[in-house]
Amino acid sequence: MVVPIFRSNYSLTSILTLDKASSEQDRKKNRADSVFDICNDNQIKDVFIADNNLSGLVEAYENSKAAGLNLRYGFRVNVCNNIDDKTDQSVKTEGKLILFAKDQSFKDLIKLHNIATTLGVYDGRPRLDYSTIKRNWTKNLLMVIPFYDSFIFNNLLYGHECIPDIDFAKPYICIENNSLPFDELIKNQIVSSIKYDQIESKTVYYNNRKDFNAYMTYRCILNRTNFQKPELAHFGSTEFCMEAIKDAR
Amino acid sequence: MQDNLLRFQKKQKYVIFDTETESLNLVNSRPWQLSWSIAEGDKIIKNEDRFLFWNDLKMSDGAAKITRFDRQTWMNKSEDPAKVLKDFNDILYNKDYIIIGANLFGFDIYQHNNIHRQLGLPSDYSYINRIIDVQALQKGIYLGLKSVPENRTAWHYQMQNFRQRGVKTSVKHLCSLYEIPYDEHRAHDAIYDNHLVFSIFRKQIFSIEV
Repeated sequence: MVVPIFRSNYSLTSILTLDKASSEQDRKKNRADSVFDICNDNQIKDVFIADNNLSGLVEAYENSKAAGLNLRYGFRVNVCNNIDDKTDQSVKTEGKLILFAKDQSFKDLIKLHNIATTLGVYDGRPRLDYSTIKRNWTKNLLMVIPFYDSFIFNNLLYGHECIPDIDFAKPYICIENNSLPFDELIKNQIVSSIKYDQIESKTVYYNNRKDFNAYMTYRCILNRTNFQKPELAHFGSTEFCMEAIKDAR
Repeated sequence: MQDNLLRFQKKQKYVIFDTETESLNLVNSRPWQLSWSIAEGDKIIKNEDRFLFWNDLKMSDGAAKITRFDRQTWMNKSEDPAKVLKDFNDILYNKDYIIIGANLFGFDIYQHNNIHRQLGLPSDYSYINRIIDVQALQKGIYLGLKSVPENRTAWHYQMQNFRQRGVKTSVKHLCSLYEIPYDEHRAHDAIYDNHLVFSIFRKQIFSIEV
């Protein structure tokens, strides 16, 4: 089974909202889709949301509760070798991790988020390092290595030198297939060299393939580019949607 | 001496390809021209310059200017995209061929996939492990590499993502670097570009082992 991991508009990389779930009749046409509506429509009880910040946490908590859904909220953050190293060189040690709050206990996640957004900030971006995560690790947290932008991805496709120290957290690692040319390459690397438990997953930025143009328009606006020349690297797939998960079932 | 190096392979087959497209969008843009040249050893032996017909082709002004798009020529020469794709794929997916190009990983492989998508065919990137990109090779040469590493595809991505001030890899620059005559008026003529790219490649393989 493919697990959808939703990204919300709070990350500024998705057109899905965390709006209150509503019945199909009450939904306005041409409005952005809510993560909770998608979950209700597809009988998904456990809602995995991984955002780049915690700005949507309260809204996600209240609206998932109102919809009777189990919220699994995660903070998708850059992790480097040492947050005190504020040099360009330190960027080469970065990779994304998703830190989820288990059982809707958010205190420990918020603590790590606060470190990332204060002490850890480099070049305007929140960061953590492995020793900080280890020091603040509790049983209320769950670590997931995303398929894209992780240390594996960066080492393989960017020639970076990320050496993670994460065995203490017994992380899970995501496997995705979005018909991008390098998907197979990453998958092979994970299968051949990573010992962690794998989750077949999909990052979801929009509901249906037909929403891709709206999604791309949004990304172009934020990137100050246009449809003819989006300048978004590897932006070559329309598969990051719930519809693709349904088709694969 | 390693006689398995491409510089010594007189019978090695190559296909050099290039696309000209509606825009630089990697998902929605469609190629209106697909050209490929077939080479053996150091000689180009065949050229194909094909135009694809889309009944709602939308050329942006910028793309039309840069790619020297001429609607009348395109109307006269364009043909069923399915036929062009079949002829091209017969070569592209043939494992005897090494695939040569410039910025293939960043652009043309997506455009080739867009033809698949437009025709309702599944994505198939199984050929990418046979690609050698002259821009990636040049970055390797610039970095002082003696040879291309074993995982060539991953290395190509690393080179594509490598940016450094002063490192130029445009076809025009590489032509000047390798003293290959470059005619500004024929740039973006697809067949001409393929010939330039192959000439660059033939020079590069004497600077880096592949």
